[in-house]
Amino acid sequence: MRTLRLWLRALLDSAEVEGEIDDEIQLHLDLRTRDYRKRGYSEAQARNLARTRFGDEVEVRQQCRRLLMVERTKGGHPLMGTIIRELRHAVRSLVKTPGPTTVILVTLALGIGVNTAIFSVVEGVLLRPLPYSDPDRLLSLWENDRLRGTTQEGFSLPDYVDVGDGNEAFDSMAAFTVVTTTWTSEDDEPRRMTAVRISASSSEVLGVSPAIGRSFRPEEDREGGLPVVILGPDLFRTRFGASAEALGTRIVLDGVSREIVGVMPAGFDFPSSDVALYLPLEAPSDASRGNHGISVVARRKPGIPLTEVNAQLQALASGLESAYPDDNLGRGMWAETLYRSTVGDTRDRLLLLFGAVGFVLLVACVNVAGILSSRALSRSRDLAIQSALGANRWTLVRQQLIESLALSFAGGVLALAVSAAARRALLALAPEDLPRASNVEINGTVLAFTLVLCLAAALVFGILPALAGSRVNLRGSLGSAIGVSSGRLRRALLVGEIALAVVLVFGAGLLIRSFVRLLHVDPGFTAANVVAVGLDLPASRYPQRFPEWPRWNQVRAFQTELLSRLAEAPGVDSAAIAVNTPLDAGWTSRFTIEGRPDVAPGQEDEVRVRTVSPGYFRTVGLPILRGRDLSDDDERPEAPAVIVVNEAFVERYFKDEEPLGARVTQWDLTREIVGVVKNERFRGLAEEVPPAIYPTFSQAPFPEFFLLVRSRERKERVVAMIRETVGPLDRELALGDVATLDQRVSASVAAPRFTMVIFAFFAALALGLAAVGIYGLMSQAVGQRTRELGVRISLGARPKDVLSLVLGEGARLSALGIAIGVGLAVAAGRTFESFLFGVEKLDPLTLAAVVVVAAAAGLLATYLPARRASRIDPIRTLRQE
Amino acid sequence: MPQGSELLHGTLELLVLRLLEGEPLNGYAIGRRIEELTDDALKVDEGSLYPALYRMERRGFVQSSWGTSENNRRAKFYRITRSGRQRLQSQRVEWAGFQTAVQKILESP
Repeated sequence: MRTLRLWLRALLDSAEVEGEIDDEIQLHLDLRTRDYRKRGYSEAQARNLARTRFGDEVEVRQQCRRLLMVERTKGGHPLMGTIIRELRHAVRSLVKTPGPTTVILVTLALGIGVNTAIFSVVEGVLLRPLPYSDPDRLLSLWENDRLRGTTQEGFSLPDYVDVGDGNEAFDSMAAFTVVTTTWTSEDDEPRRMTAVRISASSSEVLGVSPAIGRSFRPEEDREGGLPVVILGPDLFRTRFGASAEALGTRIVLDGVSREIVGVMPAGFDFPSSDVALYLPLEAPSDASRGNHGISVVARRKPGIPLTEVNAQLQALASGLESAYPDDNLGRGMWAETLYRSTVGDTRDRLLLLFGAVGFVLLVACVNVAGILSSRALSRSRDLAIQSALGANRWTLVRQQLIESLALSFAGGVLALAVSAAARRALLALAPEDLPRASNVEINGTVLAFTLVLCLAAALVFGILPALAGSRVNLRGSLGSAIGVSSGRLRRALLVGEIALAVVLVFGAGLLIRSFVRLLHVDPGFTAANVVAVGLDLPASRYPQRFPEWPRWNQVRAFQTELLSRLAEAPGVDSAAIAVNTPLDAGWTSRFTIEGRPDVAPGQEDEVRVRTVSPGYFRTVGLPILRGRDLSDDDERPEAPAVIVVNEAFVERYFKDEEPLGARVTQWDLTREIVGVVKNERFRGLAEEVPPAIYPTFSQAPFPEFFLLVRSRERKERVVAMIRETVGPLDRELALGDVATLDQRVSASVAAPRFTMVIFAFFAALALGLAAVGIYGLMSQAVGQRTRELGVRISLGARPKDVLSLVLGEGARLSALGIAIGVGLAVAAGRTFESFLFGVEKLDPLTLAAVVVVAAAAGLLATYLPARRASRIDPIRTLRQE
Repeated sequence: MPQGSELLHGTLELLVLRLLEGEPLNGYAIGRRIEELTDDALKVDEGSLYPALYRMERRGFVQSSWGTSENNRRAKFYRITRSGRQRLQSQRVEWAGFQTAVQKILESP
């Protein structure tokens, strides 16, 4: 505050000084005019004569102002006036050298711009508090299973109820589960949307209530409550024109007419931004303790730390273990902050990029420092004169720093334009599931960050040249020799620049190699030419009563009819349905193998279960390795139950035994293994293939499934054809999640691709900046040694010798920089470890490649100045002396 | 001719200090007074008068304050300080020495 006042006063004083001088000169002119008038001149003549006599008014005024401001300086505060004057001076001298100034501004705009862009993402996604009241107290609760080695599972509904009753750590708890629902209306196509079934307690837990209307009521948590729905803010705006009249009207979801009782406030997107609407939990009264499909969010009591929460949860879990050993043996419970579970591993990725972009700015700063030091050098005569005239070191340093600040802020303004473009590019490249992406914006926090960055950058790139410049050697600079210190600084900058760039290029190399490895993973299936669409048969029209399971005739009839119609559709090579698409993790279930030693209930192994129709393996291109494929005969109700298992299953459970013919029990249904299929990747490309079994739909029907169609037609035509086939079967069914398998493969690597592309871009930027910097520094070195080189040439050195002399120096410095950079990269290797796939953090190939790339960049940047040096004309050079 | 302007500078300072010894004056009055006293033989370079005054103030030989001029306008008046008087004294001695030296050359055979 004090500083601000001083600045203001300095500004006012400087205005006052101008006023005083003007008054004085004006008075002089007026009096002189009066005298001329007395001698008989006309007013105009008199005024003209007075002016002529006075001389260069502007120049006089300027001289006086300078003298007066210095005078004021002695009084204390008007240092600010000096600074303002020096600022003007700095701007003027920068404008006078447009070349270097432009290079500096572009460098800074890039460096600060990309930092601002990344920070705007970091701020929106990581730093901004979650939009709930007192969000630090919100926790996500999970179960784990130490017998099966799972670490993060949902709750079962009974467990949730028991923890709610038994804990002393939470003020409130809410249960929810993300589902898809189909909205049908008379005037529009049926639409699938993401909905959240959520308990009435959620508004208390999150501290957010509907903007209009009411929250859910506790009785709606159970099946049989009123059929109601609460709209998300986006749906309310897009489909209801944000009109409050929507309240009380009814919409049909999955064939059930529901009354709209509330609308959530704008910006509410719990638990993720793709949620369109909220449904009551409507939990069945007989929910199983073994079904872990519930997500839990809880508000911890103030003052209870997370460790205490986890201790309580662990105690409650052990209680449930002994009370319900069948379902809960080995089960634990734990909590993490809602922030952590929302942000997930995006946090690490963004922080990695944030670190990388900091390196880019450092390289940019080193670059600018190089240019400034060369400017300082070319002005060293100036500086020497100034210091001879009594300017002390602090004055000289201050002048340089003011110049740096002027540059930095001008660069910062340009950086905002760069960051706007960079931010758009970032968001376009970001994985679709980037959490809180809509938060990313340029706001006050981001601008403040940019401001701080400008200040910090100005200090970093300004201080070295400023100190070097202030240390000018009087005798040396007034003569023509160059001080030793400038050469040392230049070499240090060059080495530092390469070292920083090498670290980034090494990181980029590792990420690129990882990504290439990832893309070369054999997914098992053949992704090309397969379109997948999601379908969901609502219970209102396709009864799904569990006592009758697996005899869900309407569901099965629809699925069989759909597949038989598609088999005859033109252009379809093959079609199938499956509960999940390839690369989708799906779900696991306990199982036992007949004839194996009994395992205590609750301790059985779990296996991935992927229910498929017989055409699945053919459609996604998975070859049957042994035995036979599932066939249509297996789908007949009276047929013996059979499954196909994958290689990983055989590897784990039938290493030395014959799997074909063995019998596996899962969900109380015993099935015979009839075939072994090639491994396909579950849960993305990076994860090891887990043991999996493939039952058929008739044994394990699901109303929600994916239709997979292999066809050489274009995606749009295939989708249109699917629509034409589904329509006549059920006009109210919507197609969801339409994508080709290629698109799904691509989406599964979106996060590593994002990290890799952005990081590689930063590395390229850093390397490019470093090359420009090296070029500048070497040119400067050659410029200073012109005389020496001229002498050498005149004494008989051949151009080749000079070329190798300069190249040699560049190469030595580059080598040192690369060595330091590799050292830093090795030290930083741990940072990359968790982002790598199939590549060691000290991958020698990457290291070698980085050394080659950096050396090439260094030599290229040195070559041009070196060639110029070799062409020095000794006669002209020596004559200049 | 750098030597000449150097000389002039010194002279101007001497003259200004001499005039201020009598009474505080504003800038214009200083110029006019020099012209009157020398019957317009010496014309002050007005462009250098004000910087000279500011410089003298900076070096502590004069002090300025705002007052009212003869025609009732706000004007800055300069008054000689203690160190200004000492400066005047030494300048007069130097001037006398300079004069004698020049005289000697002029009168030499």
